[in-house]
Amino acid sequence: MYLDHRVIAKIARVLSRVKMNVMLLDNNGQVILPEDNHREFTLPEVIRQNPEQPLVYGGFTLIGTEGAQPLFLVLEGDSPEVSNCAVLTAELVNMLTRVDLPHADREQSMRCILREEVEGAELESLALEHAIPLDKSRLVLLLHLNNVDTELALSILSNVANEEAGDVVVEMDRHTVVLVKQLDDQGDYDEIEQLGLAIESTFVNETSHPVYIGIGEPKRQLPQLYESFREARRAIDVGRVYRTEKYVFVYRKLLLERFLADVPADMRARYNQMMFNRKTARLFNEEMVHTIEKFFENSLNLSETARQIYIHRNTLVYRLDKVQRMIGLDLRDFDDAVTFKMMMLLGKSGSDRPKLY
Amino acid sequence: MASVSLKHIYKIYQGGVTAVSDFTLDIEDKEFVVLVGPSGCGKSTTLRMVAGLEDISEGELYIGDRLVNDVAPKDRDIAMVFQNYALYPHMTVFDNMAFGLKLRKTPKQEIERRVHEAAKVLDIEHLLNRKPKALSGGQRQRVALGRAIVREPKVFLMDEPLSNLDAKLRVQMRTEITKLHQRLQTTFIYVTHDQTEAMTMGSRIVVMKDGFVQQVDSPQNLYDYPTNLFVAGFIGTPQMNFFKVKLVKDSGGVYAVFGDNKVKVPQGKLQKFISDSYIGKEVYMGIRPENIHDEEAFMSASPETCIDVSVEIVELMGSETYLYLKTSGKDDNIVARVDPRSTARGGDKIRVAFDANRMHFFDADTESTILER
Repeated sequence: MYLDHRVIAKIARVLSRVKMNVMLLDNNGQVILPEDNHREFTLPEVIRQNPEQPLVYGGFTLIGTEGAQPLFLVLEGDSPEVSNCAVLTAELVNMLTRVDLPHADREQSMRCILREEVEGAELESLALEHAIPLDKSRLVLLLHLNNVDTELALSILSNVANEEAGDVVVEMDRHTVVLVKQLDDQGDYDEIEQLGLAIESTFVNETSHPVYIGIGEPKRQLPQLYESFREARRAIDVGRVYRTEKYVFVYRKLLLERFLADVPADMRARYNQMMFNRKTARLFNEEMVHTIEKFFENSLNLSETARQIYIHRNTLVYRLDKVQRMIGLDLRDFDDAVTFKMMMLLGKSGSDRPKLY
Repeated sequence: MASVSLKHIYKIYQGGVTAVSDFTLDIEDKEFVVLVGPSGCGKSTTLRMVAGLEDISEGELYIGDRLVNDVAPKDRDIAMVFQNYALYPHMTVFDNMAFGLKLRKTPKQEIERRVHEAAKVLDIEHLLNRKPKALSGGQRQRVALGRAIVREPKVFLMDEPLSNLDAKLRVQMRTEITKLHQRLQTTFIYVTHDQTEAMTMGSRIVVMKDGFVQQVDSPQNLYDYPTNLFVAGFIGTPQMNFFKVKLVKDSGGVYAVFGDNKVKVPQGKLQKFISDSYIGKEVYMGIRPENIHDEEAFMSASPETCIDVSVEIVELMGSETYLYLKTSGKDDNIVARVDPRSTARGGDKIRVAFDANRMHFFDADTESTILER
């Protein structure tokens, strides 16, 4: 469920009037309120299946709000009074979070479109009302914020967005802000990664915290824009695993990584272990892996790699010879390099970085 | 403008990995200090701690007289330039440079003044209305510098700002940044893994390895008086040649002996040894490529520092020639930088002489220098 910071402030006010300890959790069990609580709970399956029915659980009363992705309230106590209070509070939260479509502004309308909450005639009517053209090429540039104030993020993006050219900035939830970028020609798409990098660099300079940025594919029709939003989220989830040193991920450029992420875990492990096992553990130490990664980054260019990692070119050749002797792959050869790269990436799929979306 | 003081700074990550250990350095106002070292030595982490992008685990950081350990990056009065000089592609050079000021709600007239002043310093006034795609790599890098300059910071922090540029442009921008420092008269802290960049730009250089400061000194002193084997090998291209030698004393004096070779250690050098106890022991001897000579005149002048070598490869560089030599008592090649008129060819057996006054000696266990300055 969408919650922008203004709605959260209103709910916080309601909860402060409830004279008992109460928490608001998102659909994943992560605490939204109180804001200084960053814990994550595992919600019982029973409450997930029937969220609007209060559930007494370990001295607490749980209840969910309405909708496909309900929020959950956790109240301390298990008496009937607590249960009544839970029902009333949940109803108040429902009222505060319900989207009033007839009165939705341009940002709210775009948010509903991205979340697939409107379709068909309703979508067309919203687009008409807010002068959002139906058939313009657009894409979603999604920012995942961590330790960054949402209002500051919105302010930065508003300065980046060109509203006259059809760009829209949308707050999706307290961790997610979106820039819907309208593309007038192919040149705009070619520069989109550069735009992402510039935004990321602004965040580092202004907030000292990097943000993850996912960039979806351009969509020609407004009703398909939600796909670009999904792709941007997927780009972040896949990119964080396979390209750990980066913060900006373009969905289109992650084809291999997306494919590998879809390979079943047991198969990934089986193939990865053919190359990375006890026998080769000493060979593929941190220094060797770093060397090989840099060599690939520099498109198999020996001199440039040696320069960047401050080793003599002959030292690099010696290391690559050592790999060839041990596993039979000559990493200077394109085909062998591809094989090795894929096996290496399969190992990264087992990364313990949790998904953000 | 401000001084920067790092006092016993540590960076320890969760899990106990120590990236920076006991980093202590006083950087004077208007100084240009370069942090240099191989990948993973902690130089970027140190810079990021100064910038506030990494928390300081232990120690104190002062900018001017102000303790800034807990001060937010934006309030430290610093500006950063990274290797990724990402510019907004849809904005003009002017708007790119003004962007940070606009976010800070700086008055419009002030923005105009600062951007034009910075553009003048960088000689990019004529580019202010262009978009980034109409700029060359060097011009883009200048815009990125301009973005930092308009903030009028007390300290500039630069993390490998030239590493994305091609070799020719790197050399050009190196000079530009040095000139910029002279014009702005501000404190610069610059991180690079490239020792040539460090030697040509910094008024002082901090050499780091494995999170520890190895030596802080002027470029010339680093070259002439390396404090240990690592610094000696890191500074200078081609790098210093090292030999594991035994210092043997006989009636003729003290000799550095390796394989079948004997090189006399001059009396002046012996007087600089921190202790006589090294005589009779194994130590490391180092000699830079330019201090190995194949000219007849030099060899006849110092016959006791000559050794027999076979020439493996000759590299003609134009203004100089590199000889890759083999000799007994050393597994890898010796590199000599000799006059381009040298007649040595691959496969030749020749004699070369060491300029013994330029030899360096290091303790075999601690790898620290055993010579006083």
